[in-house]
Amino acid sequence: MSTAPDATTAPPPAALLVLTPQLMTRLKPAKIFKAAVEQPQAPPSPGTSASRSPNAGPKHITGVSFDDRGDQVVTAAEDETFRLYSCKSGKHLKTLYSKKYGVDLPRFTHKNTAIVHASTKEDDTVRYHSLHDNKYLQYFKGHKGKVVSLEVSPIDDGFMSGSMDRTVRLWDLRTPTCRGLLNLPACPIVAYDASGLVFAVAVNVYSRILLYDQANFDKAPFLVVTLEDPTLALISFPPRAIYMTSLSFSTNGKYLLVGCSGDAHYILDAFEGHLLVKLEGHVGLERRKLSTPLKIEPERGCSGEEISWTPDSRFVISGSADGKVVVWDVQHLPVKEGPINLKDVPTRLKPVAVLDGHPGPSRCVRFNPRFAMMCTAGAELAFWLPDHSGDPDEFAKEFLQKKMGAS
Amino acid sequence: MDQGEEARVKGKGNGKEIVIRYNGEVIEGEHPTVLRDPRREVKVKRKDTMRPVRVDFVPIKYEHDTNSTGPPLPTAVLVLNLSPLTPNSHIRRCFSIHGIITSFEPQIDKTTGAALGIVYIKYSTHAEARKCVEKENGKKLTALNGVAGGGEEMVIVLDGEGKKLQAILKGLSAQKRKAQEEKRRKEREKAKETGSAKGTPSTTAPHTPLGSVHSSRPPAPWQKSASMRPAPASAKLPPKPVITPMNTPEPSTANSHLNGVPTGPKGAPPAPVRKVAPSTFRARLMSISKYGSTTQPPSLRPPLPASESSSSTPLRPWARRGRDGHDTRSRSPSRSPSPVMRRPGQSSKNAYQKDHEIVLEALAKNGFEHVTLDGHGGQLGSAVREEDVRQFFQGFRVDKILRDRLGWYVTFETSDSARRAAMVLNHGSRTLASRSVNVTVHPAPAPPSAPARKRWTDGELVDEATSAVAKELRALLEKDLLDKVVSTGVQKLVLEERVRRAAQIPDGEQETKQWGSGLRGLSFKKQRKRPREERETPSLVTPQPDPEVARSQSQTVSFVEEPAVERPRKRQKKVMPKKAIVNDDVESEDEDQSLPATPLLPDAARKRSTSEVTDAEEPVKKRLKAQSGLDDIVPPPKKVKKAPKKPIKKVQAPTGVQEIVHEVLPDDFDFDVPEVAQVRITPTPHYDSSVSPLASPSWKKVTFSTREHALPDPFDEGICEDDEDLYFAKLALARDMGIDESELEPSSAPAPDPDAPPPFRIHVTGSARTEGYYKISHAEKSAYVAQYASRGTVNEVVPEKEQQPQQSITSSRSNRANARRRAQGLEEINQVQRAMALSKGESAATELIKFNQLQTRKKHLRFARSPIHDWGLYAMERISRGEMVIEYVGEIIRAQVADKREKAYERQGIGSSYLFRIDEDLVVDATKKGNLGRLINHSCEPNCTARIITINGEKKIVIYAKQDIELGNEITYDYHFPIEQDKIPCLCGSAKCRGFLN
Repeated sequence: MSTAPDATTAPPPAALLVLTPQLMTRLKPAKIFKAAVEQPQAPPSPGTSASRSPNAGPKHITGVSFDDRGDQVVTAAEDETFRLYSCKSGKHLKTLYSKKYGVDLPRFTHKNTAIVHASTKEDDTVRYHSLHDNKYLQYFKGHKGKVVSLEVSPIDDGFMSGSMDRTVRLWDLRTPTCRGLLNLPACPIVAYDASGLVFAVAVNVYSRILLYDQANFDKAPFLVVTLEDPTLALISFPPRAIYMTSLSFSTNGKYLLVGCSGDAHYILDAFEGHLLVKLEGHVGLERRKLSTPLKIEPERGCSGEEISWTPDSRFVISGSADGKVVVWDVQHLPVKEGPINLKDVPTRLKPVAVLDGHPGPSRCVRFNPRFAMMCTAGAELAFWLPDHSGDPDEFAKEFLQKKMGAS
Repeated sequence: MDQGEEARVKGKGNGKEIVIRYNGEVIEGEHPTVLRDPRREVKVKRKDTMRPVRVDFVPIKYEHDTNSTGPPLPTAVLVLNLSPLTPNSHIRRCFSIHGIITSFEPQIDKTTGAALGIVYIKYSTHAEARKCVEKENGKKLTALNGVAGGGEEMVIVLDGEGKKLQAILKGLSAQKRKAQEEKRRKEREKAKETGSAKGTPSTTAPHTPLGSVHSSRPPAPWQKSASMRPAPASAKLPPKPVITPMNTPEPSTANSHLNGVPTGPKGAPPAPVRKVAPSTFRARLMSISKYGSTTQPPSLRPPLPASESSSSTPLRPWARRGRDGHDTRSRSPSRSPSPVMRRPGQSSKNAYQKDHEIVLEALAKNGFEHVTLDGHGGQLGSAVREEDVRQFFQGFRVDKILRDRLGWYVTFETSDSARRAAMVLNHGSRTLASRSVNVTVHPAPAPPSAPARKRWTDGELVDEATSAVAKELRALLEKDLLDKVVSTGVQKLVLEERVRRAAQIPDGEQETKQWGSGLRGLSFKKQRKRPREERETPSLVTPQPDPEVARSQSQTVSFVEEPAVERPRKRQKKVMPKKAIVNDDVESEDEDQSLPATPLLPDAARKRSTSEVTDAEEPVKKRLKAQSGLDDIVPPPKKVKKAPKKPIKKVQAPTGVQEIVHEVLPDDFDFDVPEVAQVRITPTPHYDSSVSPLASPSWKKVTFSTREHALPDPFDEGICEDDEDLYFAKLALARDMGIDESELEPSSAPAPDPDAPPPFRIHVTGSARTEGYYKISHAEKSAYVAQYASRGTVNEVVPEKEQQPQQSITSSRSNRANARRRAQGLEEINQVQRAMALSKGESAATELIKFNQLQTRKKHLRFARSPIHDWGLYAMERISRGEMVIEYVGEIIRAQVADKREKAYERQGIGSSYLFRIDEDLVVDATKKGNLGRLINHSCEPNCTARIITINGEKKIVIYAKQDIELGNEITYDYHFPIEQDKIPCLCGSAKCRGFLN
C-alpha cells in the first residue's frame, strides 16, 4: 500500500510505463479526497424544500474530465461546485461554484483553462467557462431538456451535446448558436471518433447507434448499428432492455465502447458494427445504491461517466456500484467479418483486475491521457497510481532464491 | 423542388442560413451526397487529433499529505546481506550518515539468537531513507576498525511497514524448517544404511553427539554443522538459510573449539558431556566470535597457576563475568584434569593477559576509581575508537583511556570523576558510537605484583607445580598448628575472660593509647612489596623476621606519643562504614595511600609498620576460596571483618589460588593476625582538617562506648608481644566473647545514647536485596555520612592541584553548544524585553530579563537517590557560579493554608516537606504540584542558594548556583529552617554540617 513508487523497483523518471495487466492490477488509490464534495451538513429542516430524496445518499461527483495534456482534472459535483485538481502533484487547486446553474458533464476544451459544462439548474444551457478567471465565456442555449451527453471534438473547437429533449446539437465554441441539430426519437448519447471525422449517436429505446460523417452530419448516418445482446434473453424474459448511457470510441478508432447502466458493457467494431465482446464483472450503476431495488424499466441511474478506455486502447476501466473498479483487457478482441448477425452471442469478457479501494460507488472513472494515473470519483475523489512497492512476499522469495543461488 | 412546404433554408446566405433536412434528404441545389464512412476514405483531409493514442505513460508520484491513502512514505529501510559478524554499532554508524536513525533493529535468529545479517532501520524522514537506499544499495559495508566489512553487497530496500522484513523472516524460517527436515531424512537414511551394514541399530548415537538437542529443537545452521560433522563443515551442507554464507566462519570456529576435545591430540574420549543448554552454547559461540577464531576466550582458559595475575580479577566487567562463569561451569566436567596439557591458545592468551596487565598497571598507576564500559550488545570492543570514548566522557577529566580484550577502561584525573561520570553517563542521553553504554565504576586495582611469565618451559612448569604443592602442604601444616595449638590458647583465654567479664572495668585511657600506637603502626606501605618479592623467589616461603620489620617496629615505638588518640578514631570512623558498603573503595584508597608515599619520608616511614601484613586483601579471600577447610586458620577478627566481603570477592576473583599460601605461615602468626589491617588506616592530614570539631566529640564517645564491653587485657594474658598484636587479639577476643561486630563498629550517629541500635543492619537473609523492606533509621543513615564525607575529602584534595587544567578542559564542542544556547537565550530575551517594554514600561524589565535569561537556559538536571535524603537533584551539566539552576515551582498558597496543609500531609504520611516560604504570608507548596526543584536536598555546605525574586509582581523562588557545580554533583541549598525543639538530623555529610536542619 505504498503510495509512491519504490525507488528500488521503479524505473528512473524518464522511463515510461506501459500499461500491462500486471500494472493495472497494481493500481492503488494514492490520494483520496474525502472532501471532494460538500455534503449537506445536517438533515434539512422540515420547512426547506427537500430537493433530494432522503435516500439519495451523499452527494456525488457526477463528472470528471482531464485536460488534453493530463495535467489537470476537473470534477463536477452535485454540490454545484466544480473543482480543479492537479494530476501531477495530486493536489486540489481550486474550487469554483456554480450555484446558480449547477454543473454536470464538465469537459475540458483544448485549452486547459476552459471547460464546457452542462447545467442542472435554471435551464439546460451548455456553458463555456474559463477556470482561471472564473468567468463564463459563452452560453450555448438551445436544449430544452437535461443534457446527458457532452463531447468535445478531438480535433477542433466543435462539440456536441445530447439531451433529454431528444436532440443532439452540434456546437462550435466560437458561436453561441448550434451548428447542427439532430432530432432523434429518443434520448441520444453522443461520441466523437478519435479522428474527429465521425461521431456516433446512440439512441436508447431503439438500441440503435448511428454513425455520422462529421462533414455530412446533416445527411443520414452512414452506418446504423443495432445493439442487441442475445444473452440477455437467457437471464430474463422479456430480456431487459439495454440502456446505453455512454459511448466512446477507442483512441485507435477501431472500437466503439458502449457503456450501459446495466451489468454489462459492450464493445463494437467501430467500422462494421459487429458486437465484439460483452464486458461483465461489475455492477451497473442503474441504482445509486445497491440497496434500492431495480425498476422494471431500465433507466440511466448515475451511469454515464463510469466507463472509459485507457488512452492506449488496451484496457477498459469501469466503475461499479459496489465501489470496485473493474479493468478489462481488450487487447485481444475477436475479429468479426461479414454481415452482422444479431443472434451472434458476444464473447463475454471477464475483468483482468478488480481494484478495491474506492470508497462508495465509483461513478466516474477516467484514465489520465498522459500520466500513469487513474481518477475515480463518487462521493469522494480518488487518484490511483500503480503501486511499485511490490509484493513483500514476492520480494522475499526472490531475495531468498538469489541467496540460495549465491551460496 | 418542394416549395409547397416550409422553406428548407431560412435566413440569409453567407453561411448563416439554417438548413432543415428530413432524414438526410438532399434539398434542391445540392449535390446528392453519397453516404460513406469518412474514416475509410483516403482523400479526406485529417486533422491531428488533440487526444492521440498513447501507449506509454509518465509515472508520477504524489507527496504524502492528508489526502494520501495508506501509510506515509516509507521511512524505513531493510538492510540485507550484512555479515552477521559486523557489530551493530558499526552498522549503525555506517547508516547514520544518511540521516537520523529513529530505530535500529538488528534481526536475530529466534531459535539461536545468532545475528541474521538483516537490519531494519527507521529513519526520521522518507528522504533519508531514500538517500540511504540510493547510496548504499548494492554496496559493501565499509570496513572500519579492522572489522571486515560485510562480505557481500548489501541489499537495501525501502520497507515502510516492515512487511518485507516479515516476509523474509518467514521465508527464512520456512527454509530452515525444510533444511532441517531434509537433514533429518538424510540422517534417517544414513542410520538405516549403517544399521543395515553393521547390524547395530544404535549406531546413530556416536554420529550425533548432539542428537538430543538436535531433535528437540530446530538447530541453527552452525549447530547442525557442529553436530553433524566434527571436521570443518561447509561444502556438503544441505540448502542453508540465507545467513549461512555469512555464518560459515562461525560454524568452523565453533567446530574447531567445540570439537577440540574429542579430536584433540590427547585423544580424549569423544565429548563426554556435550549436551549443553542452548543458551550456554550460544554464549560460548558469541564469546568465541568475539575473541577471534584462533584463541580461546579468557574465560575458558584452564586455571594455570603461574600465568594468572592476581590483580586481574577484579577488573572483569560484570556482564561478561556472568556469562563466562556460566560457561566455565558448563564446560568444566569435560575438561581434563591436567591444566597444563590443554593450552591450545596459550601464547595468544598470554598476549591478552599481558595486554590486560598493562591496562591494570596503568589503572593502578592512576590510583583513582576508574570506569569500565559495557555495551549492551557486548560488541563494543571492535567498533569503538578511542576518540569516541573520549568524546563520550567529554566534560570529565579523563586521564587515560585504555582498552584490552575485555573492554574499555577510563581513568580520571580526579578521584570523584569516575563516580560522577557513571552517574551522568548511565542515565544521560549520551551514546557511545550511537549505542548506550553501561558505565561501571571500579576501584583501582592493586598494582600487578609480579611480571607475568610469558613462556614456560617444561622444567619451569614442573618447578612451579612442585612449589605450589609445597606451599599447599605448608599451609595445611600451618592450619593444623593454628587449630591445635594457638586456637586452644585463645579459647582458653576467652573463657576466662567471660568469667571475669562481669566485674571488669577497663582502663579506657590506657587502652586508647595502646590501640593508637598499635594502629598507627598499621600501614601497608610495605605490604605491596612483599608478595612481589616472594613471588619472584618462590623458594623463599618463610619470611624471616626481616630487619626492616624490626626497624619499623622501633620506629613506631618512638612515635607512640604523637597522635595517640586520633588514630583509632579515624580509622574507625573512616574505614568501618566503608567496609560495610563499598569494599571497592577500600581497595582504591589502599591504592591512593600506598602510591604517593615513599619510604624515605618520615611520615611514610612511620607508616611502615610492624604489621607485616602482606597483600592485605587478596591472600585472605583467596585462601578462603581455595582452601575451604582453612577457614578456621583465619583468626577470628579476620573473619569478622571479612564476612560481608566474601561473596563479592569471590565473584570478583575467580582465579589465583596459589600465591596466597605463603602468607600464612605458622611462625608468621603474629603477622598473620593483623591481616585485618587491610582495613587501611588513612592518616591523611587533610582529612583531619576536614573533621569538624563538632563531630569529633561524638566520635570519641563512641569509641569509649565500644570499649565498654571491655576486653581482657591480652597484654596481661601474655598473648601479645606488642601493641599491634594487642589490637588484633582484642578484636578477636571481642568477637569470641560474643560482642557483636556492630558494636565494634563506631555508631557514628549523633544520637547521644551509646546503646543505640547498631547502625548497620545485619541482613538475616545474607543480602540486602533479599531482606525485604525495612526502614533505615536516621542513626543508621548517619553512619553512612562519614563514608560520603571521606569521599568528599579525597575529592577535595585533588582538585586543588588541578584547578588550572580544569578551565581548559571544556571542549570546543561544549563551547559551541553553550554559545548556541546563549545566543538562543539572548534572542528570546530580546523578544521578551521588547514585549515587556511595550506592555509594562522599562522598570520591571531588568529583573524579568535576568530571570528569563536563566529560564531559557534551563539546566540539565536529573533526580536520583541521594545519600542526604530520599531523592536528590543532580547536575547533568556543568553549572557555573551564579547561574540559575532551577525555579522552585509549586502552588502559591497563603501561610494559613500552608499550615493546614502541612498537618494534612503529615496525617497522610507524606513525610517530606515541600513547603517553601516566600514571605510572611505566602508559601510555595510543591507537594502535589511542582517541578524537580522540590527534590533539592539541604546541605549545611550547599552549592546553591535560593533567592526570592519578584517578577511582574509575582515572587518566585529561584535556585542559583553558589559555586561551580560539576557534572553529576548533587545540587543542594541551605534550607535555613528555623531552630526548633524537635530536631531534624542532617545527613548532608559536609564538613561544616551543623548536625541538624533546625
